[in-house]
Amino acid sequence: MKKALVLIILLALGLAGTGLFLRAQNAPEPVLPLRYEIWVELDNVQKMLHGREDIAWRNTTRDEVKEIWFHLYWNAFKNERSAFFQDAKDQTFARSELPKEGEWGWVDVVRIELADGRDLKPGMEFISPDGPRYQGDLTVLRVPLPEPVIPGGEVRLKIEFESKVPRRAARTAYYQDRFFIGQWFPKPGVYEEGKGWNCHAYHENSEFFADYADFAVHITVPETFVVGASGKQTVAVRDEKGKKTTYTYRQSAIHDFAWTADPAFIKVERDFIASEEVTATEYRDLSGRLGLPVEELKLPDVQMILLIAPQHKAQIDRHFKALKAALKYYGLWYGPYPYETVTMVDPPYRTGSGGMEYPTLFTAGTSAITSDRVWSPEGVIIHEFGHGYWYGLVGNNEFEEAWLDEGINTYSTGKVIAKAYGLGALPISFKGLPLDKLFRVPSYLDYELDRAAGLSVVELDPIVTASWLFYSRLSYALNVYQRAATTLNTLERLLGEDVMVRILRNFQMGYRFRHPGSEDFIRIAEETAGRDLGWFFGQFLYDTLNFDYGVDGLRSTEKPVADLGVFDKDGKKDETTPKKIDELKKKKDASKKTFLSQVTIKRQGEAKVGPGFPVILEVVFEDGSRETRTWDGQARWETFHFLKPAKAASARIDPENRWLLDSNLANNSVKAKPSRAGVWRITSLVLFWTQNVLHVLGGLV
Amino acid sequence: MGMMKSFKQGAGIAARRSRLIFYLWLANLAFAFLVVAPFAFLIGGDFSRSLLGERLARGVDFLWLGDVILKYQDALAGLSGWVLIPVVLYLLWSVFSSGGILGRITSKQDERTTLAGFLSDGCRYFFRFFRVFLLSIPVYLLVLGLVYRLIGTLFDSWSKNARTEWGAFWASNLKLLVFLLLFSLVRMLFDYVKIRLVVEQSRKAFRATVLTFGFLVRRLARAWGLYLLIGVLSLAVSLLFLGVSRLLAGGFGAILLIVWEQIYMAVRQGFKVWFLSSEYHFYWDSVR
Repeated sequence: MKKALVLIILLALGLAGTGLFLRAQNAPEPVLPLRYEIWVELDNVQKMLHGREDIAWRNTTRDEVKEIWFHLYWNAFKNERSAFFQDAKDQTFARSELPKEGEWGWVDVVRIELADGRDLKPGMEFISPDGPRYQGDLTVLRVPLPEPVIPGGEVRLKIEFESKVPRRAARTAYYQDRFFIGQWFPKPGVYEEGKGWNCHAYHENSEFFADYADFAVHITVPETFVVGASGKQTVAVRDEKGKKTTYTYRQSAIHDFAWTADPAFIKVERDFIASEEVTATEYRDLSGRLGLPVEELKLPDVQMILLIAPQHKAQIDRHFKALKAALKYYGLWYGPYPYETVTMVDPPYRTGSGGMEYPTLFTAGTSAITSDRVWSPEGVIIHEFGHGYWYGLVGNNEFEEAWLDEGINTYSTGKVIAKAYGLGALPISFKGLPLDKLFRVPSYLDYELDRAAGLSVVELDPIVTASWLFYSRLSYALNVYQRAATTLNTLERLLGEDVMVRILRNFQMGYRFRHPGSEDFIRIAEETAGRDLGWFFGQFLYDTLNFDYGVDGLRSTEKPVADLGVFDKDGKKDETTPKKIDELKKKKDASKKTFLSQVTIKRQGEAKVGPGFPVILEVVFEDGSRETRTWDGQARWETFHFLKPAKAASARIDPENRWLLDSNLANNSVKAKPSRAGVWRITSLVLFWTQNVLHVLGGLV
Repeated sequence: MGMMKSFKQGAGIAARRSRLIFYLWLANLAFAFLVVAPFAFLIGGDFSRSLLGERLARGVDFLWLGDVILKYQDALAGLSGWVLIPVVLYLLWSVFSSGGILGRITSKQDERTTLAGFLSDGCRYFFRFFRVFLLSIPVYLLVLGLVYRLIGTLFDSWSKNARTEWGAFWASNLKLLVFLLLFSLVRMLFDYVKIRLVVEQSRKAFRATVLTFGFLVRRLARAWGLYLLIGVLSLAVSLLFLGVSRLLAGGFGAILLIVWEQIYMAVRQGFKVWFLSSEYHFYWDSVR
């Protein structure tokens, strides 16, 4: 009876917690296998964290679970035997880049026991789930349980830990008395039914994967520090001596918790008032595009919190404007933002923590001198906020399928920037000075830059590759961000913008607070588009095939008035001779010439177009007329013939530029008559800068 | 000897030696064309018959730039070897042309600048100026490698402990300024070495360097002031060029821009002559 009562109270508390800072939406109920309560104190002098956590892990599978695996991410910065540094050394990493004396970071589990006090420490051991190569790694800890957790059962653990903050590591660090604290507490991996624990080592390329949880975190810092954290601050209690303050943050249905502390921060709070940001017309238009009632699209108000360095104070409005654009368009297109707060952090100076996402909190990044033509910090604000959707709400496994958040979010960022800001200048600066104030810097839309960068690695790795198994760090980055975004931009052009936004919305709303994989995305895409897209994803997500169709030849010749040779006519042999043809030509009206134009299209790459998406050929003739033909594109080449009163002026495939994945757009068209104006313009530009370089070199002698 | 007087005399000579400037500009253009030619042929081959090529006329566009990167990323690595040849040749040409410039500057005022005269002076001074170039290498290494590095540590420690990026910003930019000032000192020193060799018709580059060093130490403020004054003017002209360039784009503006770019390059050659002619007058008036 007593047990049942406790259970009812716990359940009630759990439900209250869930409802507290998470708005009910149409999405499925979150599945929350975890509850955390963490107490942590920052020792800003020794750069240490002293923490303890109560974890309740619920077995939501049908397996009996005999052990729990934990991530101890900060041990990646403990010594150079970690998977993180081993991966780094495989690349261009130099030993001089390793942390200096006193700069290493780590996390120690001081005590780990069950809620009833049974000690689990003697059985714990470090393991290397990603292979024997990483045997020295200490970022994954296996803790056997005295008895298995039955399906639906729960295990409660009490852990005490001590961590040394690394001076400058990936995403987390301190500099002087500024701190950014991410991936800092012992965190269970994700238990997958029938497969076991998914708990990879912390690799140089990879990001993270964790289960959704309710968090209550009590952060104690010296009085002068300004703190920002995931979730909503509920309490701030100063100690009796007035030297320390403990801030309590709570948040339901998130899978990670990060915080920052810096005495210099300026904290600004503003509200995103949906009724002021979105017009009735915008709701109506979107309702038509998505086929959803307006009520379902309505956005909630959100409290926006900005922690910004004093030297960037003048950019406060700029930060909020970008965040509002992100809240608006991600919310309208992919689903309303479900949390009450979002915290935007201007990363503490020299902590290397900029441009990173955590649930309900993200780090942006700017510089002291900015340009009003370059979308920085806007780009990073929109992108990192967007991860609140792609990774935060749809919790894919970043270790194994990073493209699912990075690629989709790079695509989404480009859409929001194009909509809210338009063309931006290339961010080029010298010694902290933006050069667009001096030079005419080219402008671009994200998809153009993504294509230029992403297609260079097509033949290195498939997009769907485990993060640490890519050919190089560059291949990882360009494949999962830019190439994946280019793939999605191509898909959008093939299916149409409305279908694409429906796909992403369905994926977002269908998988909120879950862990979908690439196959889930493909299924949603096919269901939404109502067609088979296996050929598309098979080639462009899972393979390394180059896509390149091109116009191989364009030729126009005058059709002779008659054909040479002997022809049967009225039972007699009639011979057409050149002389006869000349006579016929003289008789014929010169203006009524007919031309035979021939266009050959070639498939240069291995990748092919799929059913329902033929290669479209458009031929423009000298009299201004146009002809369009289609080709299924399966063979290596095809030739098309046109009989017209004018010669062909140009031939072009993919006239609407749908196939951004095409690695050679130059060969998509051929003109009958070459024109060199563009070539001269570019040559003159390169020539001019070469002249300058030579002149400067000449000054050395 | 007034700094401003040398400045004006140098300007007068530069203004009168327009042919000299023309030769220098033409040579610079020709060498640059040698560097660019393979790229121009590649681009021409791939884009002149493509509709995408029409976008090139509108300036930099990332769809075609993406194509250029994708198509030529391997070829460009191979081309870098080719690029080195004209670059080395240009360095030799710069040694040669310094002789030609100084020879023409020191010629009689009413003497017409001819190509033959320019080339002949270039040939006459080439080997002694080449020795000056070789001598300048250790001095550059000493000043920019050692002295600059020593001074740089002050800025580095400022930057290392900066509380905000402003500290690092100023440290980095002031360090650059120090670099440019040190560079200007070394460059000025060897300008005067060449002038001394021409004025004294000497072949002893090392001796000339030592003597010129003493000469400059005694007149450092005025000599350096003169050098920096022309340098600042040159910078102002560059900023003017960039400002006007931003106004020119597309259609007829694109053609104007090409013309404007080449006028600017000719003006830069004019500044080269101005530097040497002002320094020559400064030297001549100082030793007279």
